[in-house]
Amino acid sequence: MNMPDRPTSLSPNLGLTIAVIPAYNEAGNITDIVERTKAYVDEVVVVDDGSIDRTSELAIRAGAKVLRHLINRGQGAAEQTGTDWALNQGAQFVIHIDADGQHDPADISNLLAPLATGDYDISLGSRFLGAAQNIPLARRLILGLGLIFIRAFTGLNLTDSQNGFRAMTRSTAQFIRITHDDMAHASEILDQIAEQKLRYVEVPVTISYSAYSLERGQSNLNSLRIVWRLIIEKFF
Amino acid sequence: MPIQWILTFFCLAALWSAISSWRQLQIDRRKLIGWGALWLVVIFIIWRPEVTSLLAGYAGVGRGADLVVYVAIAVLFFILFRVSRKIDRLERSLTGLVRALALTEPPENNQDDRK
Repeated sequence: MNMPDRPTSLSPNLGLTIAVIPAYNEAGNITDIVERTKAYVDEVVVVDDGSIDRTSELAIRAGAKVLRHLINRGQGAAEQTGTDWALNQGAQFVIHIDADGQHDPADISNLLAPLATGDYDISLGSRFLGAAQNIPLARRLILGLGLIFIRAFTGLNLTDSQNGFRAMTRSTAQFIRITHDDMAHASEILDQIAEQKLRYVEVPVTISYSAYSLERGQSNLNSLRIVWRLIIEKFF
Repeated sequence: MPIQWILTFFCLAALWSAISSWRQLQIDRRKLIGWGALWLVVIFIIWRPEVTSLLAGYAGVGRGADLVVYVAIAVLFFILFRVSRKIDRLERSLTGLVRALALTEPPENNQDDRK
C-alpha cells in the first residue's frame, strides 16, 4: 500500500524541522547547499522557481524533495510555497535558507536553539552579529540604509534587516503570509513580525559573499525599488 | 488647422477601437459608453476650444488649455494607479495558481523512488 511520505523528526525533543530552499537556476550550487543542509534538519525541500537549468534534477539527486513552480515567480513566492508544504507535512520548525551558498547551514542549530526553549517565535540571522565575509562597501551602505528604513517602517531595532536566513516555529509560519513575490518579502516578514508582536531574536550567522552570490543577489538599485513597493503596499 | 485634423483622426481611431472591442465582446456596453463619451467630448473640445476657456473661468484657471492639461494629468495618474493595482492583483492570482499547482503535484525525490 502506498502510504503518504511524511517525514519524521530526527530529534524528537525538537520536533520535525524542514528547511525551505528557493532556487532559480542554481544548478551550480544546489547540490552543495542541499547536502550540507541535510545534516541539520529532518527534511530539505527545494522550490524550483521555474529554472531552465538542471536545478531540480541535481536537488533530487542530492536528496531534497523538489516542488516546481511552472514559471518564475520570485524568491518570496517560492519561500511561501515551501513553507506551505512544510506546514502540510507537520513541520514544527521551518528554516529559510538561500540557494546561492551565502549561508552556512551549520548556523541552523544556533537559529533553532532560541525557538526550542519556547522563548521566541522567530530567529533572524544577522551577519553583523556574526561574520560577513568579503562584504563590499556599497552593499554595506545599502544594508545600513535598509536598517534605518526598517526601523522607521516597522519599529524593529535590528542589526541586519535583509538577511534571508531565518528559523520560525510552526505557529509563526502559519501567521506570516508572504505576499511580496520578490526580494521585498524580507522586509514584509519584518513588518508582520512587528504587527503581530511576534517574539524575535537575532542570531549571529556567517554570510560569505562571493562573486557568484553578489551577481545573483539583488542590485543596489533594486533595493530602492523594493522600498518604493513596500511604501505603496503599506499606505495605498 | 492641421493639428485639429490630426487629433480628430486619432480620436476617431480610438473610438473605432472601442467599438471593435465591444463588438468582439472584449469590453461591456458600460465601458463602450464611457470610452465613447470621452472621445466624443475630446473631439468636441478640439473643434470648440473656447468651451474650455469658459470652464477654466469657472474653475479659476487662467486658460482653457491649462485646464485641459491639469485634468488630463490627474486622470492619467488615476488610470495609472488603477492599472498598477490591477497588475498587482493579477500577479498575486498568478502566484497563487503556480503555488497551487506546485503543491498539488507530489514532490519529486529520486531517493524515495529507489526504495
